[in-house]
Amino acid sequence: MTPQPEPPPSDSTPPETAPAKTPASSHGKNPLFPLALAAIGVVYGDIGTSPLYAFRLCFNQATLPTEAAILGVLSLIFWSLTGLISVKYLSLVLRADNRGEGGILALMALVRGKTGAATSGIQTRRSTVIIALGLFGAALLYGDGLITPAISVLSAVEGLKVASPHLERFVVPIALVILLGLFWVQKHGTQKVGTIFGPIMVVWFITLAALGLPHILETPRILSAINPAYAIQFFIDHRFHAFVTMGTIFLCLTGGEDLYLDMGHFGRLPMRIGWFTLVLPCLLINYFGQGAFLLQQGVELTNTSNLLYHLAPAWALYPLVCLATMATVIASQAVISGAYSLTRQAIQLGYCPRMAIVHTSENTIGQVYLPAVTGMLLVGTVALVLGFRNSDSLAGAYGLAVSMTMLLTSIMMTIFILRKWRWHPLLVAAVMIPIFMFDITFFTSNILKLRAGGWVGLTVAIVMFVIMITWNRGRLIMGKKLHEDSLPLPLFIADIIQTNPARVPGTAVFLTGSLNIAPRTLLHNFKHNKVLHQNIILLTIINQDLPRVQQTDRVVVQKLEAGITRITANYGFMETPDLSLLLSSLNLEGLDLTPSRVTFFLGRETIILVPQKSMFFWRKMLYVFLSKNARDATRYFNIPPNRVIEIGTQVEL
Amino acid sequence: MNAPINPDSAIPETAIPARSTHAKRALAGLTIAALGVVYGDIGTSPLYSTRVSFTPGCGVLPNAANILGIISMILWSLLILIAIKYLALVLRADNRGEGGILALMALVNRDRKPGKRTLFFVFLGLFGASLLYGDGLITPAISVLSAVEGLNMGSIAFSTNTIIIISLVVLLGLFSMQRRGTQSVGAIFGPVMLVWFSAIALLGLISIIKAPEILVALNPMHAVEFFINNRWQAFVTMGAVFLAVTGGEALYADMGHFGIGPIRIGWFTLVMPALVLNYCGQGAWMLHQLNDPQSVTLVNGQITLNQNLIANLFYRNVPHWGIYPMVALATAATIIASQAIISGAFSMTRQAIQLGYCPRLSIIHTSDKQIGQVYLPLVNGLMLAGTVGLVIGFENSDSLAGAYGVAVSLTMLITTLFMIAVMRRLWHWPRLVVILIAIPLLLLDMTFFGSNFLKIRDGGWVPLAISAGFIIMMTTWNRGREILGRRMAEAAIAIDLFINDVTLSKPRRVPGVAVFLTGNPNGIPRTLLHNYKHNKILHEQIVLITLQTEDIPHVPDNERTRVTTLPEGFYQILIRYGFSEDPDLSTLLKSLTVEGLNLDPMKVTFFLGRETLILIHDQNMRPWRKVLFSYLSRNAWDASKFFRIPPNRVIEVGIQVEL
Repeated sequence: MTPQPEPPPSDSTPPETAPAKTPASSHGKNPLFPLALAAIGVVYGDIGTSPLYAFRLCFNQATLPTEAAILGVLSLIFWSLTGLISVKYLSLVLRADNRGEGGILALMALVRGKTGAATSGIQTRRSTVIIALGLFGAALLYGDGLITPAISVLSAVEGLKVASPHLERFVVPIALVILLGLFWVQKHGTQKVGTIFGPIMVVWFITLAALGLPHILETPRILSAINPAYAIQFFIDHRFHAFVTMGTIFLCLTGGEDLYLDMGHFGRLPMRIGWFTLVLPCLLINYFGQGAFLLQQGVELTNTSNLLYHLAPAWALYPLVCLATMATVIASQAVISGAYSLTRQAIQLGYCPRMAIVHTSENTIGQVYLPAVTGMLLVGTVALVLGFRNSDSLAGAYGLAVSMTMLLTSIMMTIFILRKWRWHPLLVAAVMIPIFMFDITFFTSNILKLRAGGWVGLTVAIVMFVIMITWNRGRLIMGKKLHEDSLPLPLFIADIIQTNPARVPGTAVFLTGSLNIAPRTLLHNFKHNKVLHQNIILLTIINQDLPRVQQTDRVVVQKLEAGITRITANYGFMETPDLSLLLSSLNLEGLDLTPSRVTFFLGRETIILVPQKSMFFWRKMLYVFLSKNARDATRYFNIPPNRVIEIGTQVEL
Repeated sequence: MNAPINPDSAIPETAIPARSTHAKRALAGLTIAALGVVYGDIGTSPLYSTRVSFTPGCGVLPNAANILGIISMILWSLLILIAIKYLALVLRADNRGEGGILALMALVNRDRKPGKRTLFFVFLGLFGASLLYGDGLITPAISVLSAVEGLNMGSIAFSTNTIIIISLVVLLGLFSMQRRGTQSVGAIFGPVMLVWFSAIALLGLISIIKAPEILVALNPMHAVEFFINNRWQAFVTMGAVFLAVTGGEALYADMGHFGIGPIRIGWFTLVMPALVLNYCGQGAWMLHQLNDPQSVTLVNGQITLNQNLIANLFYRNVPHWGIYPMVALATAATIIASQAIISGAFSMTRQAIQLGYCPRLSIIHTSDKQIGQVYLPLVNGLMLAGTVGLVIGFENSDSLAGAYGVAVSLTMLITTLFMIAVMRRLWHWPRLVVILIAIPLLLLDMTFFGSNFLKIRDGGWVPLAISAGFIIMMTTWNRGREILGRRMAEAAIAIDLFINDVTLSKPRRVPGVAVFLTGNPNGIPRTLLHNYKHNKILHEQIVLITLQTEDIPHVPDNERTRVTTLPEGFYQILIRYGFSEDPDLSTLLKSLTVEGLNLDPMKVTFFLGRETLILIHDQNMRPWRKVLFSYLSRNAWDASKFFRIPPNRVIEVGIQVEL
């Protein structure tokens, strides 16, 4: 157990204006085009596979595919894609990067950083609200992360049903095999195959356009759906059912939050280029093509299942199923990688227990692998496929969590714009009110799905949320308790100088959470072993509210008296501290910091549960469970385990 | 921390009679107390076992011949399986007064060189123990449900959901009561069961007077005839008849608390007569009803009782005014029965922990001397979840009956196998006698097991799956500990070698006493070497403590510790515990006086090893078992808490171990 990552002291907060250092440094010199290509393979997978199921599900007994309805739905799709994705995400939200890094936790860190700086660490009520919003948004992403792979792979494989109905019984097994395979390869990293993701998705998008275009040419009047009057008419005609349909239309947009989450890998510009030159046009052509096809077939086609596959000529069916499956696998891969980086951020920000993080590659996306997250996603996804059995019913579960995340992003954005960009409130209102209308409409229409399966995503989110806040709260309490019982460092030093205890040769590194105290581990070891080492290093790891810390800002070394040295190491939330690396790279005069030669002293807290009001008893139990199963500090910080002595201390929780 | 088997422990073979605390109490009092614990399960079986035997599915049609046949089978199963096998035979095989399958396993393997055969018995014992967990979940669920279902006999009709909710409330109350211990209410358990047995005897008697012809069922020929006439169907029905004897294993498991005498007295003077009367009474009631044209139909030319009269058969001959009191009494009796099962699971888990087959768990003592004295929160929580899941999943006692029995019948079969080993190896009975006893018992056990095996698909898989989970856990834990122990031993330095080295090199000694816990009494623990390496000091007095768990339930206090004084301020202490004891190092050290050594737990420093497991690929265990082991070892109760060492006197030394 390591010291709690305390909110950074005010003086170490980065300068107010975060320089928009667009693409991540490893890609810095890359030309724009390959980056855009790579972005298409990662970012647009989810949104790009929505045509498989989103459009056809809008029509049912209550909303028959009449001409007016088709035009109305298309109009709604067109304007939602424009309003929510093109305007909200690509134009607005992507600007709110935390040193190039995006995602709701990065946004939370950004907003919190601004408020937190003034009060230096003391959580105000406002920042608590912001943190709760951000965490809940992140938790919701896990709920989605389970559903996206299940629904997209299922809907792709369901194309087999169109090819021949008796293949139907193989759909679920094939989908399961594909998903198992997908999760299995995570262990080996995806950088080898990752390079072909972009090209495959380009082929997919072109295919989507090619499937839609002929039908549009045959029925050009479909283009009139661009007129928002059809959307309004649709609402007037169907009223409540139109509202229900909004929940389905939302499925076209579900990938929107991923754009933001994956921003750090590619930068803003490649993503925008990819969207406006390829993804958006192809998607629109395809949706309109599906609409045109439906118009041609008229109302007779009551069964709209697998509409996309009906667009294709018979010979192309199997290749199309293949391509669609690949596209959905790529989309799922993006969601899984997203869950990894989200979890990493949560760990570093102190909202998630430490976990094993395996690096599968140096620089490519999908570079880390978290076995625990993979296992949970796998179990959840398989359970969803087995429980819902087809994409139509899964669609009932999909959407609620995403729409809630999007709403939360909008709320955070509003706070962010007001605080950070200091726009005029009227301007903010003018921009945000239409966006909020979209978001709230989608959110409320998705609430209707709660019973059909929406509770699944929401339950997962609530569980994750409880885990995150419990972990954070528990650490906070523990940190406070540990701090209370410790000795101020100057006092301790003065004491040593006075009593001059026996010193043994060697270097001892003590990990501590607070800067100005003599850690309990040190006092305890001194008490029991009655010696101090010649060189004592007090090492504090501070997690900053930025994605990465520059090498020059990484370490602060401070020599104190009596052979005590204080080292402060700063890490960002996209980094994993590696103490072995850190210490061996440090070059201090007269100090041998080779990790295999120093001794690391870590605290091992034995938690005693006492009836105190600090937390509910079940949350304390949860915390104890989490802390027992969190990755050892030794391994998480990459400390050689045979150089570690853990000192037991009793802490009341 | 505990070495599983100590081959050179010189313990006399003869079992010591029941502990003296019991001897002081009057036999009658003990017998009544035993009623409340030992006979709860078997005493509440009349609630459902007869009825299930006549329920379509695994039962037969209720016509006159079948009624006599079934009742006869039940009576004779009680006689042979319970009275003869358990009370006459199995109860003799106590491990210093302690019973139960793990005690039996320890008994059979005592003083044996580890080998294939001991491994086989260990596996059998663990298998039997894990089957008991499977049953431990079902017993509370089925008995409480069947008691509450009696509500429907009254004037108000209750829906299935209401019955389920009432049962769940009762079970929730029961499990949440465990934390506080049951000694305050435990005293009334015996008297309540006394009332229960009297009531069911009375009920039976009333019906028997109406149709005394049922008494011919005492003649075993009816059972034989039943078998001849029904063949396969009779075999299937054995699975239902078996429900009447499911409590048999509990007699043995709880023996340690009361001793053999009170258990036998209780059975022969009260329990068996009451059960016989009640089962006969249920049969008599059915025979009586056969004369009523309203309640019978003609099936295959036989006069057959209507199926709707079979439901709640137990409550049929209760007079109308007595229904609700009887339901209340039955519920009380089933609660008492479930309590015995839960306490049994607690004490079995504790034994498994001590014998090294289960990770350390938190053990809370709720009382000093009383039965039900310990409380294991985790076991309690798991059982609660399982029982609630069963009630919700199966909804009524009839379908739960399908799940019940498979595990118990297998446990009984395993007990018989153990008994053969005990008779031959420990008692040295002549081979012919053993064969004469074993063959009929094995036949009966196998018949019951076979007929129960048919129920696998009806729910029998539930306890089997639970048992499979437990046995995987237990064997993985044991195997992992064994590998770890071996790795530690490989790396250990011989004590005298190290002391010689200390004499020569004269390292810096700091004042104080350092206590090292080690599993290997012959080597210097790695924790010591590690601390020496990093802190470059040795304490002035170094105490190496090895805890050993013996194959007996309790170690007498005068044999508990052995202190060896070594040169250079080294001491070696061997502490031995029985498998029914909790090691309490703090108290023990306080009471220990060694010359020149202050072992006050608040003054010494305890060094414990904190193993970081590095999972490697080798042939020792499958990778998933290694993952399971490391999960278990992470979540095991802290050694410092388990041994009651003051946590602020502990230094844990990180040690990397390959698994």
